[in-house]
Amino acid sequence: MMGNLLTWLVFVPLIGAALILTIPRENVNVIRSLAAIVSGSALVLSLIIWGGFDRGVSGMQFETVAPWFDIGFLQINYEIGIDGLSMPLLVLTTIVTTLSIFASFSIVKRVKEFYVWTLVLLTGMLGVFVALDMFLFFLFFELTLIPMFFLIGIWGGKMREYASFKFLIYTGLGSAIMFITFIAMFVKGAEAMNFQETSFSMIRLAEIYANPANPEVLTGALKGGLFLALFVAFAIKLPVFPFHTWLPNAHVEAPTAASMILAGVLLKMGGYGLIRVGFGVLPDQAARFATLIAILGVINIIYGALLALVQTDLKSLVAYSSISHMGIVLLGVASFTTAGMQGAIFQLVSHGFISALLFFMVGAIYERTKTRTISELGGLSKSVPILAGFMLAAAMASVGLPGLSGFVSELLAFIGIFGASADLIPAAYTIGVIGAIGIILTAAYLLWAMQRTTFGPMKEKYVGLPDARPMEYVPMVGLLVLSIAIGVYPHLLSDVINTTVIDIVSKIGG
Amino acid sequence: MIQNAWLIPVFPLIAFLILLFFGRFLKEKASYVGIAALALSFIVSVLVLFERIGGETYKFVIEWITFGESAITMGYEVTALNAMMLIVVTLVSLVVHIFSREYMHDDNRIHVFYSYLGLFSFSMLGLVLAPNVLQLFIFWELVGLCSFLLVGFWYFKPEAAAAAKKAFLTTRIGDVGLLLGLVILFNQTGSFDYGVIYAAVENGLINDTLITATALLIFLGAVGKSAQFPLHVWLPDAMEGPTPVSALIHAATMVAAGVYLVGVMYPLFLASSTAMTVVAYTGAITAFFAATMALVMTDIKRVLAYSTISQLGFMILALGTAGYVAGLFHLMTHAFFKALLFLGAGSVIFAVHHRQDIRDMGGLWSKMKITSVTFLIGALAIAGVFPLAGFWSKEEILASALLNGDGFLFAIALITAFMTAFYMFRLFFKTFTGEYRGGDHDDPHADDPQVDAYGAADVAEADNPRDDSMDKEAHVPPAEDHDHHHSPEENSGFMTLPLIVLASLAVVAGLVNLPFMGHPLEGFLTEGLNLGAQPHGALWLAILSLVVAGSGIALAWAMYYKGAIAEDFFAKKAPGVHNLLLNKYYLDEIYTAVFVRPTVAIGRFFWEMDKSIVDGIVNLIGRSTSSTGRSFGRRHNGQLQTYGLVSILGGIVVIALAFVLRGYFG
Repeated sequence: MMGNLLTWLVFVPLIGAALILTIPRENVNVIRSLAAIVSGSALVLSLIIWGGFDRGVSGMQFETVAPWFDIGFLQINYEIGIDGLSMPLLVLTTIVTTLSIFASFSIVKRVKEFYVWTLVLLTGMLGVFVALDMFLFFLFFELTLIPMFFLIGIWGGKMREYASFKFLIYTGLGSAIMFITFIAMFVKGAEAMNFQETSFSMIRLAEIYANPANPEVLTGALKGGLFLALFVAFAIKLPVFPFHTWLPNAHVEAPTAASMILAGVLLKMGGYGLIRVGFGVLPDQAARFATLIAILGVINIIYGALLALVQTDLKSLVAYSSISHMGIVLLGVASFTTAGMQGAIFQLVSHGFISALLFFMVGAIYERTKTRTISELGGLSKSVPILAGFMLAAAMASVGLPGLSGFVSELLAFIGIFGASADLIPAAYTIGVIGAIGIILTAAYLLWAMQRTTFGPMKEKYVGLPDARPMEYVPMVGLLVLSIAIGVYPHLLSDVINTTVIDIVSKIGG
Repeated sequence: MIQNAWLIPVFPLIAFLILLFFGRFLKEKASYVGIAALALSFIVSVLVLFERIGGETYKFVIEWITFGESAITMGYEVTALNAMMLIVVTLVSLVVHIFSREYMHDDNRIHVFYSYLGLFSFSMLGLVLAPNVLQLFIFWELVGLCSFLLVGFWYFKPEAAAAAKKAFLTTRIGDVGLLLGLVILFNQTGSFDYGVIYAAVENGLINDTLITATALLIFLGAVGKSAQFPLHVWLPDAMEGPTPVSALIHAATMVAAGVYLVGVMYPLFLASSTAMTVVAYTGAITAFFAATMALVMTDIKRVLAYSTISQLGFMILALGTAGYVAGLFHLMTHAFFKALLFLGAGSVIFAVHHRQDIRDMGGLWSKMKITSVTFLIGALAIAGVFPLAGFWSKEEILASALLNGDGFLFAIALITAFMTAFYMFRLFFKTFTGEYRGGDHDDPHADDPQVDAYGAADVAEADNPRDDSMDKEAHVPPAEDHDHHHSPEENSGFMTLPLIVLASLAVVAGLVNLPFMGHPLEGFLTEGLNLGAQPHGALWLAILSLVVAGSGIALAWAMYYKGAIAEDFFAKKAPGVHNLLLNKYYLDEIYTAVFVRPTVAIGRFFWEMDKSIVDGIVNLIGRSTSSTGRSFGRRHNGQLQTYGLVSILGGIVVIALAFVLRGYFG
């Protein structure tokens, strides 16, 4: 059992989805409970794995390798395993998904399908974080696309069709680029070994690319091209300017639970893929393009923040803030320092909790006021004090207030960029200072939004709105407590990440 | 006891948590939870101080985060400086907790108020106990959060909501500078610990450019927090918060944190003469400009707010001219007499039914004996009259400016001292002497429908829009006489006891650093630190400062008590200057035009660009693709299957192609 824990974790949700299919659609409460139980089981499994995770070991743990299909030259293995990079993301995924299932108990439309898709999505996301075979990785990556397409398209807002197609086309394009690049990496990898060996394994490919039998195959131009193609594929997901425009639409139209998962987990697949495949297999190329990545990171931070500042819709404000916050991830990884890399991974986790909370709060407020237009809200502290309190706490977490997790990742990312070697990023200080302006802008758009929504005189039409329901406390308290826990005592998380971080950074001799 | 110093911030934290979860059930009794917590903190602080005097610095840390080989630790440390700060913070916080029991008792969110006060006290004490500058920053931000929450305590007032945001944002600008300074220092020294940083500076491990750069970045943090020019604009607006908050946060403790920051990072500043010069001039300019604005304000709290900015400028000036002890000594004495003045103002505001305009006051001397006498003591102390606390500390600042600064700094300091005495006694005479001018009309805001509709009338302190308006003639005419209030009278012991305690301290606090007793505070604070000799003034300087203070008081007496000079004498002589001061040098307007509007405009421009160009291209592709999709079938599912099929088929084609190519190349 222990050896197959990861496999169980990944496929328990899929089994759960199959189980739900057998239940008549009228039994809404049974379906809801079952979905929560299935996702909860995955959560428990991920925590068991967390408990058994050896913090001192570098390299993969909980590994399983089994031949899957083998057509002579084409060997695809079922190869899974985790390290300090994927471990926290697994737990993030099960937590956010479980809490979003609690957050979606108010959904009444096509309940059965909703939870089937959510659980399929969960399997896809978990699969992405454990897959070590690139073909497998791609399959799981694709598997997340279809459920999210339906979640937005069926349960979304007024413009849901447009948003879901935009999401599909955009991220589908990313998948296509990723697939082609993977194939190219595979072929060139094989060629570099004089066709004595072929492998789709990320671990093996990294070794091959580092020590090819025939180095002439792997020219700088080829490797550079491969890295940039990978970067674009994952940049769409993260998202990175200028590939970000699918995100505001998708977020605004998606139902609350899907927004939580989208911002909380799906975007992280972009950051994860970049680190795992891009930095993992082609570290020298990642270093080569470090300046570009850092500059794009700063553009993300500033551009996202400026756009968030002028949004009139609260949900799209939060969506643009996600773009801004993902810039921190780029800034951190580009620095190639342990601090920066740690900060980037910390940001993936931290933003997962904080953005899920923000989207939940926006959803809860929308459900009551029937509006997300900032100028129509106001005085919520008076009408729904508890929801407004959590909203304010979520905003403060997003601002990067110390004591909450966002601060730790920002601090580490900035230590990273200011500590980056001058050979790697020539104008690191300038980039860092411009990035820091984003901190001010973040405070500006969030506090301004709070001033106009939670503060101010209470509007007549919002008198007597119901405040938080017991079921709503589950996601609110859960997400906030997690953000506080790793904000107050980041050692909880850094302990798990650190060995892997040292590993990644040491690959370019840093 | 010194090992248990961690208890000092923990008591208020427990109070905060109790009130957060159970405050609703306690209501007014919430105040006792807060008062008890602070009383305990104060007792422990006193014990810790006694143990620290003649004892050694105590430090305890645990690992907070690790990355690579680096680790950041957190814990607590009791040095001489923070042992003194602990006393100041717990004492002022305790009396403010007691004072608020009466001042806030009509507010139905009194338990929320006390929970915020608890959180603030915890954060401020955590800041003081921090053993490294990162932990200081963490609590520095938390006190900023508490300030935000308390300035915006009456969030339903749009002015309060705006002021809260402005306070947080303006200080945030400074905080980013501070954070960058810390990050760079960390990359240079591998640690945030004060000791490691001091040693790195002394041993020349950091190059001069970076020393100056980090010192200035860190100073930017102090400029924001301690409301120094040009980031001072948030503090007067922060007066929208309840008056006890103004006394605690915006006068005695949090705003002094910037001064404290420069104090704990002093070796870094001493290593850069450029940084020291910037510090000195920033302090002097701030002291002067804030004092000029205090001359014309008519809102009692705003006069005190500008006075606070000005006094903080004095402290910064002292630090910038190597007067380490002078600056921190003034920090302590100022905390007592400024808290006294603010609470005195609160007592007055409470008695005159939440009016704040001194033109509506007057004649309170006979009606409120304790408030009047203690306020007079506070005014004398801040004016620097012998032998009150302010005399001793201000004299040391003047000495520092004279001996280590230049003629300009000294002259500015003297002029500011004169203005300080003048505006304080203008305030005193207008408020307490003459006839009571507030009896014949109500609070002009009492009929404000917004205030009535949301039950704020019982708590809302009237803000004063007249300070902001250019037109002094807009004085609200006496309304119809329907005075249902009784005339002002002295408040209960909850409010007067704090005044008496603080007034006593305003009298005696200067004694801890008496020149003819060998400057005991100086010996305590500088022991073990290599800060050079502290400047001390000669007797003539003390006499000069008394003459300056005396003439300021005399002029105020002549204008506002005796009437020998018309009150609007200067306003008539130089209406342009008067307007400029009333409008706070138009800085708010300038900042809006230069920073806020352009930023929003850039945001709008990018948003339009985002929607039209970046997105437009993608939509174009999207439209053609989805029309292709439609030809396969009308339902989404159909399209999706198509997509999936195309994707997988495409994949197979690509693989096949790759192997054909391989064969071709091979």
